[in-house]
Amino acid sequence: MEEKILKKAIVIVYFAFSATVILIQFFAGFFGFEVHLSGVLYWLLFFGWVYFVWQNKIESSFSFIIALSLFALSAFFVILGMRTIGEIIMRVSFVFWIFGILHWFIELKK
Amino acid sequence: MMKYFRNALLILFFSSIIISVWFFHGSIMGTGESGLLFYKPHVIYELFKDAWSRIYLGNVNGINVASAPTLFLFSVFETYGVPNFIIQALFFLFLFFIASYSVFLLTKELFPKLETKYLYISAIFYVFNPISLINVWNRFLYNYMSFWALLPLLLWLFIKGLKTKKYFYSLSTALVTIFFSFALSSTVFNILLWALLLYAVLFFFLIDLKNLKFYISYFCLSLLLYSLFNLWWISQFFNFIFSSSFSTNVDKFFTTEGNLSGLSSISQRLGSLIDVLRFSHTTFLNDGPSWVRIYTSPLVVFIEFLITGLILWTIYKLKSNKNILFLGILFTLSIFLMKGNNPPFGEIFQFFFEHFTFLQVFRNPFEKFGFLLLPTAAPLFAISLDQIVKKIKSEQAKKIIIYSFCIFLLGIWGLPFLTGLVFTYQNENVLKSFRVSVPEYYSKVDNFIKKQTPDTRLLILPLGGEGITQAWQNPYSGVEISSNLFHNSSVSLNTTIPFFDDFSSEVANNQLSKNILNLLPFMNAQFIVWRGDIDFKQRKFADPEKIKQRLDEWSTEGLLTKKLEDKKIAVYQVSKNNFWPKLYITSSVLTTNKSDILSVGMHNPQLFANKSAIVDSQSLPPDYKNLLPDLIMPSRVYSPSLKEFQKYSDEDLLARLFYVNHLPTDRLYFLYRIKEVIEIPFGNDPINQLIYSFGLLGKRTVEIYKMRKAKVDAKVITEYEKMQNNEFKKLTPKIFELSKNNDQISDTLITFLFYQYTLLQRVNSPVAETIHKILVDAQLTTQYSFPSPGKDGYLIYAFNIPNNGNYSIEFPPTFKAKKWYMDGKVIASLENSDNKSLYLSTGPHELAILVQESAYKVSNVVENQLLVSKKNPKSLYLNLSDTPSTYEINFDFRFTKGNIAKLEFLQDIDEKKSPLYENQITRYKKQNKWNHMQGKFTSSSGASNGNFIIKSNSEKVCNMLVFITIRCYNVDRDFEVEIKNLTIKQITYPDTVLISDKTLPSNQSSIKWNKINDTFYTVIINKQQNNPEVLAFSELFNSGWVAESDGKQLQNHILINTFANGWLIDKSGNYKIDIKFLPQNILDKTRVVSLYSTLVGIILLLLLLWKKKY
Repeated sequence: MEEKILKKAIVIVYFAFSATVILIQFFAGFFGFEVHLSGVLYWLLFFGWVYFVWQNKIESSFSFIIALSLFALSAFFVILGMRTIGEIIMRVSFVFWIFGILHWFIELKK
Repeated sequence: MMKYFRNALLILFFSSIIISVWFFHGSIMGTGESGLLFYKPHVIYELFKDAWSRIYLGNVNGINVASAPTLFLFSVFETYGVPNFIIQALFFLFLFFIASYSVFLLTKELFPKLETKYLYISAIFYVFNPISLINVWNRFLYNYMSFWALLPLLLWLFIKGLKTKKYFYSLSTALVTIFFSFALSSTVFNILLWALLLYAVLFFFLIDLKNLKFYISYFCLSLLLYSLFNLWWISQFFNFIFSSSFSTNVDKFFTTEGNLSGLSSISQRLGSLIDVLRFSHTTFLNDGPSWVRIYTSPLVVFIEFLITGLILWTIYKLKSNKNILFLGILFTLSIFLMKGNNPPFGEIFQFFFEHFTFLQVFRNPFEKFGFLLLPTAAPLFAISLDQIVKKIKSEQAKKIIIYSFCIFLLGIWGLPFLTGLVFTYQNENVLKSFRVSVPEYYSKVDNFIKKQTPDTRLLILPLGGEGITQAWQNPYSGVEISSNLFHNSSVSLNTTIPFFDDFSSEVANNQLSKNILNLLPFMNAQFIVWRGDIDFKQRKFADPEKIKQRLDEWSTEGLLTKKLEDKKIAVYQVSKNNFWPKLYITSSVLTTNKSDILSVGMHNPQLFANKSAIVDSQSLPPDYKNLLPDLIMPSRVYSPSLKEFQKYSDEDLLARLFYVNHLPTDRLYFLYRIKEVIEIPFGNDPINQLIYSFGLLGKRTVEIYKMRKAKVDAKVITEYEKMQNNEFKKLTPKIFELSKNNDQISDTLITFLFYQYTLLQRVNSPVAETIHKILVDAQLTTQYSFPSPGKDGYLIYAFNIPNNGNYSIEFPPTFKAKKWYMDGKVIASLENSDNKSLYLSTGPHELAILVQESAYKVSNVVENQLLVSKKNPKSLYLNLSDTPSTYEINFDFRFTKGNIAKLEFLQDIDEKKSPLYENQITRYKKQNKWNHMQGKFTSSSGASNGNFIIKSNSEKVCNMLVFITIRCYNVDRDFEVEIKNLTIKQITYPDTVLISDKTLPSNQSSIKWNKINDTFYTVIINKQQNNPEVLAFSELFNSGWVAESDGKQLQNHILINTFANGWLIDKSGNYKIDIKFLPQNILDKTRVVSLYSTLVGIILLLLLLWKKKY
């Protein structure tokens, strides 16, 4: 019971924090403030994904597939000339790719 | 074996064809930082063979000696009459062949079952890709090219050893590095090399989890043999690291903040993942030659993504294969490192970069880590193609896929290589080749000077920065190349070598002035070479014709003698009075605190008349501090800005600081503070962070000012003032640093402090006192109060007195002052007084002089009334002084039409697109009031005149056409502005110094000296008395230079004449002194160790090969 509450708390705090960061980033862009929080988002994504994979016992292949799909999507945007959105997607793809590689190495050693 | 031989032959044949295309024109190539090495390889070899190079005023070679064996080989070819372009072609062929064949072998080693055609494809991929194109071949640095060739070869040998578990490969790996020592003449590549090999060992051990002993001993043996075989240059590297030259270099030119700033800027430009993953160099694609546009076409971008996609897909699919995993991790790691401190996880990169100083050599991560990406991507691409093809059943489709990729590799990525476009750059929309033809007259001049005097220096004019553009038939653009063109060493550029930069700046600043002749004796120059064949505007050099005019004038006056003139070059011999030998002894000695020979000499003209030594006071041993006469120059000269700021109204000052709408007493104030925290530019540019901190200080100041005006709760104000005091105290070290800089950012930030001080003083805030104290301590303002100057002004000279004693104030004879103050107290008028002597104690002192503004500000341009518009722009001509000088522009303006106009100051040496000074005037809130404009600029060295221009502001306007294409063009904005009271004034603070009342008895000592080689001189001294004298040695100061007498080192080694070595000598009599560069002894010994160990290594290798133990 306590474990469930703790898990829920972690998830709520995680999403609340992520949402705050995204909102700040969004409003900052809208009002023209110079905010430098994008780096935090990738860390959040990484640790969020670590937690998700750990909780759901997901294999490394899943991370690779997401990374490759996002890679293709990013490439599509870049070819169309939308570099900014393409770069953001590519960074997300790279987070999944790095995680996939690390995860695979651990799987291999097991 | 025959199969391997056939493959090698085929690759060699293919490489030969490409190299033939590059050199069919029969000229050498040269550009960028590599200079013109192949013009006279033996000259370059002579410069780099020893621990000390005679280049410029001399310089330590350090790790650069690693290039000596390769240069020696080139010089041997040259001696045997092989044309220089053939030597260069053979060198390129060697590198091309080694690189491509090594990748072939590496791929074969990792994937033994792969068909031969894929091995060729991997080789083609390694050679023809954007990183190899831009970072290696277009970059045109020979050590980069060598490292590019070495890396796959070394990786192949090392991995083969790890797999077969044979130490034979450890020996082979180490031996190979000797033949590629040129590649190792860069610290970065040594770090990369060993990081890669360490990764290989760790990976194979972690996969294996057995044979730990072998892996450790294999790696250690490789490292040991590598160190032994390369000991000769490794010793020089460490010797340089621990030398004074290195620490001075680091202190003067490098800071972690600066490096971090460079890293962030490069990461932002080149580190986008969408570009890195396509191997693309964004800046080159945007600003490079026109032919690179092909790589921005959507089809090419698609195929590039396809290639990376295939590589990633193969890593994913075949990750169980340990070789794929080895390459996959390395590929990911390379991409991660190449993007620098960009997200995601750029913080990790930045952490290591900031905390491990030696890693700051990776300021350009895209360029450096790109080398690691290639040997991993090439085999991965080959296996990817194999995997794709295996999945397809139709033979025709298989062929189409393979041919399509080959066409892309050869026809698109390889196109610049096959056509020679890789060796081109674009200048003003004209495509230019790296091909260079040096005019014949250079050889003629070189031979003439060599015959006259093989060992004295040359002064080459015009003199500018590190880069030069020689306007020859086949032009050269790159680093200044006088050291390639002439056997004699020369002062021909201004570059960031400690001590040399101080001297060469002084030379550059005075190249139009006759004063330059007074610098010649100190640099041991017997000839001035004039070069008229440079594109002076492109590099902001002085106009060669104006320099020639001056040289001819001085020849007419008998100060120089023209010895030779041929087309665009001329040689002038310096008169005997202005030539001193490289070694001399003198009792005419003066110590000073600043590297400025001409200013010192202006107050002491006899220094130029006889051989003399100007000693750097910081390097003077304590025993001599009270013996030698001092000339103390002010550490700072200024006219107090406070007077100027006091004129501003509160509104003016508030407008110049940050806008504040909410005070700390407001309920929602905390939200603004949160916003400030979020906005802190963390992890990025430290200069931005500093600007941000100053901005916040300004905000707090405005808040305090407004709270005091609004008379809010005194407790709140006191609390905020305490906090503000603490913030100022924290920033004090930074303010001290800023006070020493002379750039626009520092000026602006310091001005910010003055605004805050003035504002807070008006509301009687105690924070004003804190700011004032910091400004005084940083010598930015005066600590004493003076009577109101009325229409006049004060000039403040801040001095730091090294020793108690009597000092005379020396100033130009024409200088008229109204009153003199020392440390706030009036002193007698000095102009007509015979006794100008004052007793001053050790420490800071402040000389204040009340003068008319005209004493330091001279009007050069005056215009009372002007009407300027788009149709009628105005250009005002200004004659500049011969040496760089600061000018102040002032005028009032009122717009009658439009809102904006552009201001420029274009010197005669500036290109139109890059004027020295640019600014704008704008209409304030659509009002028609008169506004005031003030601006400052400092003229460049070599500039003799310029135009102040007021014209319409050009703006870029973009329109979207049919929702698809965007077309942009420049539009000149319409305007009309009235201008009155326009003045451009030259600001020259009268050169005022303090001279101690000490003299040294003059001696009649003499020396005879002999140069054995560039690192060893012998001197016979004949000294009459025991008084201190200076033995001057006009080579660049370095702690490695020692003077020995009777086997004992002389202790008092000092910095003299801004750059040179000097020894304080007391002992009288006739005796011999040896002057030698100590690291040369180490080089000689380690060369022997390396030579013998290499011979043993080769014999052992041959023995093992013979016994087939590999």
